[in-house]
Order: sequence, then C-alpha cells, then structure tokens
Amino acid sequence: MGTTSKSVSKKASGDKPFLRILFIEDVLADAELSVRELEKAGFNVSVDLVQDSKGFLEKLSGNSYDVVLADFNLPQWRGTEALKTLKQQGRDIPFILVTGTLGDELAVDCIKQGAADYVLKDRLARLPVAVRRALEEKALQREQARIEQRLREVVQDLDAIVWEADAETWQFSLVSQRAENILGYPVSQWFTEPNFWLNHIHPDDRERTAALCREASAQGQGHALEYRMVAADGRAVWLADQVRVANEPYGYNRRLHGVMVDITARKHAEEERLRTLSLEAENKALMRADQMKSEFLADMSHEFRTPLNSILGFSELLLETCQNLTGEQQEDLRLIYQSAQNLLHLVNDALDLARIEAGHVKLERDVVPLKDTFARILDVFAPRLQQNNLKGSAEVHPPELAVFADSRRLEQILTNLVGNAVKFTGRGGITLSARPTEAGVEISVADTGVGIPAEELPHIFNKFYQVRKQTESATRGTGLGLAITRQLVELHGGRIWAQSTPGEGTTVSFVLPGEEAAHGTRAKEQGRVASAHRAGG
Amino acid sequence: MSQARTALVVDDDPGSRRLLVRWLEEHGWRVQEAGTGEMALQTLAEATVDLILLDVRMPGTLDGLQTAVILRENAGLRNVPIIAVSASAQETFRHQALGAGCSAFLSKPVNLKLLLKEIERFVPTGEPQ
Repeated sequence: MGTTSKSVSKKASGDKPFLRILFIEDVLADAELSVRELEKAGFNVSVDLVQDSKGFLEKLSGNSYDVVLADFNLPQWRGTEALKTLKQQGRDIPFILVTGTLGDELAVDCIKQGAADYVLKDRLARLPVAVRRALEEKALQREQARIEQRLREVVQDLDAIVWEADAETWQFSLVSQRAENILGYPVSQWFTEPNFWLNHIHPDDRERTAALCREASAQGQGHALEYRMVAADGRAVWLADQVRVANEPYGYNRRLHGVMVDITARKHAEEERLRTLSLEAENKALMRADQMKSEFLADMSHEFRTPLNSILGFSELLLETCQNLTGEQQEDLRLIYQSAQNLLHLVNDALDLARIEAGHVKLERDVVPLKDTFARILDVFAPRLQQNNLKGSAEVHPPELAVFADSRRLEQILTNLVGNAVKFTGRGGITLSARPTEAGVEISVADTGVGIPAEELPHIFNKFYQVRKQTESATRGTGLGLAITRQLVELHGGRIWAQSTPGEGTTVSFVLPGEEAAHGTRAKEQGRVASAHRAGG
Repeated sequence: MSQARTALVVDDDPGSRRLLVRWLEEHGWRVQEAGTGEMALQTLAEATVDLILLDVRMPGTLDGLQTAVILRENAGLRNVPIIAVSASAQETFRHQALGAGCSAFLSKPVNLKLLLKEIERFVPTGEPQ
C-alpha cells in the first residue's frame, strides 16, 4: 500500500478551535469516525492521513500539527513506533493512540513512552475529551518551559553573578554569564581553574572572607559578605555576596547558592564621603586652632602693652615733671624710655609677623600711584635725613606708574626699607625708584651706606637675623623688620632681594606683579577695572 | 587758678591707674580712681567729675564698654567726656568704644602729651598746656 493522504474535512468555521491532526490509520472509515466525533464536539478539523512510516516522516517534516492520532495495529507498523519517531525528531506534539484493543500492560507502556492518552475505537466519544486535555497539558508544559527559559535568560542577564558551588571545596558548578562583564574572566575558568574564586579574591580580603565563609557554611547559615576580587584587567572590584546554604539530598556535599553584586561605585562613594567628613573635621579643628591662635595673639598684645604702658609712662612722667634730676639721671631715664620703646616695637613687629604668618592679614588692594607714595615716605623721613645730612630722592619712570597693592602695607614695606637704609648710611643719600618690568613693577630702595657682605645677603630677610658688623646697640633693630617686609611682599604675590657692595651701598628691590600704568584719572578708572577683573577671576 | 578740675581714672591695672592719676595731678587736676566698673559707678553716684578716663578691658561683671553704656544712660553723666584707654590695639576696639558712647579712644602705651591734647579738646583750660 502506498502513501495516501486525504483531506477528510476542511470545513472552516470562524470561532471553532482549529485542530490540525496528523492521523496514522489504514482504515479510512475509522479515521472518518474519529473526525466526526471531534467535529461534533466543536473542533474545526484538518487531517493529514498517513499509513506508514515513510508517509509519517514526510508529513511531519513539512507541516506543523496540534495532535498526532495513531492506530496501534497497522499492517507494517505499530503506532508506538510512530511515537518513538516523533521523540527522535524532537517534535513536541501530543500523541494519542486510537485503537481497537489494547491490553492494560500495553496501555501503561505507551503512556510511559510519552503518549498523552489512549482511546478505544468502541468508545470514540471520549476522543474529544482526550484531545482537549492533551492540548491543555501541552499548553501548560509549553508555558512552563517558556517561563523557565525566561528565568534562565533573566538570571544570565541580571547585573550580578548568580552562582552555585560546593560548600566544602568551593568548586563552582554554576556561574551566570554576567560574571564575564563584571570580572572579565570567561565563565569556564570558574569551573576549570582549581580554587579560582579564592585565588582571585583581593589578597587583603582573602583570609577574612574565607574564614567567614567557612564558619557560616559550617553552621549551615546564610551569610552576606563584602570583599574585593581582582578583575582580569587588574582592577579591584567590590562585591556584595549574598550566600545561602542549600540542603542537598543524602550523600552529597552541601551546596552554596549565591548572588554577587558589583558595589564598587557604592564603596568608592562611601570612601569619598568618609574622606570628605574627615577633611571637614580636620578643617574645623584647624579653624578652631586658628581662632585660638588669634585670641592668643590678641591676649599677648594686651598683656605686653599693659606693663609697657607703666614703664614708658612713668619714665616720661619723671622726665617731664622732675625739676631736680641730674644730667646723668635724666640720661638713665631716657635709656629706660628708649629700651621700653624698642621692646614695644619688637612686640608690635612680632605680633604683626605672627598675624601675617597665620594668614590673618587681608590686603585691601587699590591702585597706588608710586610718585605720591614715594613723596609721602620721604616726607616722613625728612627730619631724620636732614639730621644725618643725607639726601633723599625719588625716581619713577614713567611718572604715572602705579601698582595694585594695599597702600598701608606698601608704605609699611617702604618705611622698613628706608628706615634700615637711613640707619646704615653715614653719608650720601637714599634713592627710591620704580620701573616697569616683565614681572611687574620693580621698586628699589638704594643707599650709599656701609653695605652688607655677600655671604650675609641671603639671610637678611630671615627672622632675628642681624648683620654682624652692625650689631652695636645704636643701630640694632628688632630683627623682624625685613622678615615682615618679605612676608608683605610675598603676600602681594611679589618677590624681594638685595644687592650690596660693602663700603659703597645696598639696594633692596622688590617686584609687585601686575603693573598699573596710571595716566591721571583715566588710568585710575582703568586700574579699577583691572582690579575688578582680578577679583572676578 | 580757679576751682580745680576733677577727673575719675578707671583701670584695673594699678600701674596704669597711678600713672594717669599722677600725670593729671601734675597738671592741676583733682583725681579720684576706681579699679572696676562697679567702683566707678559707685564713685560717680556720690561725686561729679569733669572727665573720665576709662580702661576698656577690665575683669569683673562690668568691662569698660558696659560701664560706658551705663554712664551714658544716666542723665547727669550724659555729657561728661569719656576717654577710652586700651592696651588692645585693634581697630575694632576703637569702634566699639566710640559706639558705646566714649568721646575718644587712646591705645596703650599712652603717649602722655597726646593725652593732654585730647583732654584739651573736651575740657579746655583756656590756658596753654
């Protein structure tokens, strides 16, 4: 008998469930009976009828079916052979035997082999029920398979490493795909490399993590770990590892299930936050220390001035009011007065220097025309210059040259320098000069005095440094004047230095950056613009 | 010279106090002294003065600033010149002292000749010092 294939019925009707049947039956009438039962039950049926193995394979390969119905006893073939073929082909279609007689044993065997059901030909009324149930079961199975597949995909795609390992040997048996993105090692390496996990934990965390893990699994308790692993590219990756100890059937080692989440970003943020907090605390402590220093300086100033007030005041009082002092006694009183004055200067200088060094001196900068400033300084020193028969002069080129500086502090700088120059100059004069340079405005105070030996020049701006030849008490200062001067110049962003030829004179020069060429009022305006620009920048 | 002019010197430091007392006495003043703000108020409750020299920083419940404020609230003392004297050289003290009602501010160590000039501004003698 050749392969026959007949369409038994093709009545299509809209809302009836459409059923595509591959029917294995050698008796056409039997097949028609079955189809009629199904149609009676409301199925809209299409049937491909085959009689042998060859026809079955042909139909199966080219079409899709909802159900396979098969007679058990065929001339050259058994229905159960068809079931085997179906499985071999990997076709997941419900298989129902429709047969004349079938012993109980054979029936059970068929079910075991994967048949969905069997229906006896003399009880065909049960066929629609069997088909419906088989379809429902298959739909359910497919849904479950679909969910499992989705779950697998989700696990693989999860931004975490989902894993399973032996609780004793820590040999990994499952690792989700994301592990490759998170740590950069191929998943297979987790399985094949002995002690892969332990060996790739950051050395600083390894012992602690292993101990925690061992202890927790010994107690059969789940645990949460945080540790670093070294990624393939050498980065330290922080992982939060949530581990569960799974109970295994008797005879197997217990297994660990876990999820590792990359928390590197969180850890870094935490570290950053801690760093910020400790910086803030440090800053606060510094500010407190600063505050205490300020208060200390103010207290010191007060406590020094109070006794000096009496010493200076009473010597002045006695000198002014005692009519019967001898010349020597007057001289002694003057010495007390002068010494106390020197001490007062020292206290003032020391406190000034301490305030500058502590950063408590804020400059109030403005455009300062140098010609006016020089004139004022020479005016102040005029009596002393005259007294020592010295000539004071100023050279400003161009005459409208100005600097952007704190005028009070600039005058303090110049007063210190001119004061020194006058002190150490026996004849000749003092020259104040200013000229624009690339670095800014260079201002010099030159004298024609005794000069400073070359080896001492680098030290003259240090605190309490006194040039050796000039330590007679008559010329001795506080030793802080030039240190303060240097600090003030540097506070302006400038730089100070000295040149000297012993016996010929000394020139102290400093540069204040950012010259302002002041051309009368217009230039002053420009200067303000420049200063505003600076404040903004 | 007619009736001697009177002054009150308020300072907790005995040296500073005596210096001002002696200096003023040398220049013909009759001077009373007080070591605290409270004592100053007590003295002024019983006597009137032409001038008050007041230390700004004093220990005790009343410092110089508080004392000055209380004195200025008293109708009888509203117009008495108060010269504040302080060993605290910061500019803020000058502002605070003037703000509290003091007429002038001098820093310690006090320049005695300058002090006389300041006094002359507020209590003129009409004679050259």
